[in-house]
Amino acid sequence: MISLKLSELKAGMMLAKPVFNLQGVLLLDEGTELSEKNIWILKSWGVTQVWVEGECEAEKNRVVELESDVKEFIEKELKEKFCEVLEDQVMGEIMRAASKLLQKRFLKKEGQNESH
Amino acid sequence: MRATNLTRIIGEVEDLPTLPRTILKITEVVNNPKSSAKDLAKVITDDQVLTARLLKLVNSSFYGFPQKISTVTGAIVLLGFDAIRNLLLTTSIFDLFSNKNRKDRFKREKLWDHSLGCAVGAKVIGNSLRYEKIEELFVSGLLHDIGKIVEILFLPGDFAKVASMVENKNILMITAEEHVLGYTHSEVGKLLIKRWNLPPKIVNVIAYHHQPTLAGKFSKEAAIVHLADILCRAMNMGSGGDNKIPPLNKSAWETLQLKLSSIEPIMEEMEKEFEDISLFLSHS
Repeated sequence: MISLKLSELKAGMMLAKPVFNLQGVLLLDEGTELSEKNIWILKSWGVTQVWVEGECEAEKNRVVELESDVKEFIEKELKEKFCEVLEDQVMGEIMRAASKLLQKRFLKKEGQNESH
Repeated sequence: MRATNLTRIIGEVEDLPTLPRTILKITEVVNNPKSSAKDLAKVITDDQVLTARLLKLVNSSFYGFPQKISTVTGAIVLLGFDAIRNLLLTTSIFDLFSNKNRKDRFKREKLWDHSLGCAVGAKVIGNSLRYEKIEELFVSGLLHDIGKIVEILFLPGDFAKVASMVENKNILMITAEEHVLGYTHSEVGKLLIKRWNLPPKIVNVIAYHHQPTLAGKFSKEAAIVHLADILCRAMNMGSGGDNKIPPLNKSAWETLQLKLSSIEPIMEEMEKEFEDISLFLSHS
């Protein structure tokens, strides 16, 4: 769910929270799919900001970038640790599993930080 | 020559870490085939702190008994002599690592986490091999680097030399020990564990966790701790004092007869159990 300015709204977006006018009268309920007409109604009532479903593109990209940065960092550290022993197939498997697990651990911690 | 040298050094160390009197007494009772559960219960219940810790630990999710165990005798009957001794040993070893002395505390806490990670690893690997005496594996893992604690606390000069070489050359601690000291933490640990009168199995696992094939009839146990040491380092559980992974001993791996595909599930289980046990044995 993200909060968008009226100018950023596009037809087809879904409202994530109901929208009221200043007097508290319900204009559009949550779950409404926005049409050009709906957006015009909101504008005419002086609404400036609404909550819609979905993630902001920039936010999404940031998460993807962060994940690939983390992966790169973890793998670099592991390679350094393992550099003299990697000929062994078992050690290769241990490094692969460790990388997966450390990424998972990082994301879990990240998730906990956000929810606090 | 080398062994004599080390014995001399250790001989000079006056207050080598001792186990609490109660633990020594418990070891004595457990080692005596004539002892009864009642004898053991009496020694334990004489020490209130130990009693409380024992009950807390056996009722933790780590042991996962379905029913609540409210008496020491109940715990002994359920777990057996050896397991109880090992369990109480676990809590005493923790004290040794977290000795209130501020100096080097950080290093020791890291080493504790590494040891705990190795203990959990040994337990999980043991379970997957359906090994019977899991407690023994756990304690062996916990004690595998006890020699490093002795070096930190009692041979600080030697330890500083080792630590600076580890840092400058980015090598394993055991390699640096060979170069600088001519003895290793495995040997120091072996001497200490022998002095504590712990069973030969634990002594051998500690002495040979880097060369498990030399552990004679305990080579399987040594191989388990050897692998657990590698896994917990790969998983960044604490620190063994360096930033390298020791090479896997090929024959040790073959001894274990594990499948390559079982590595990942073992590591996942270690991650889970490490969190559980840390709640009961942590520095906070």
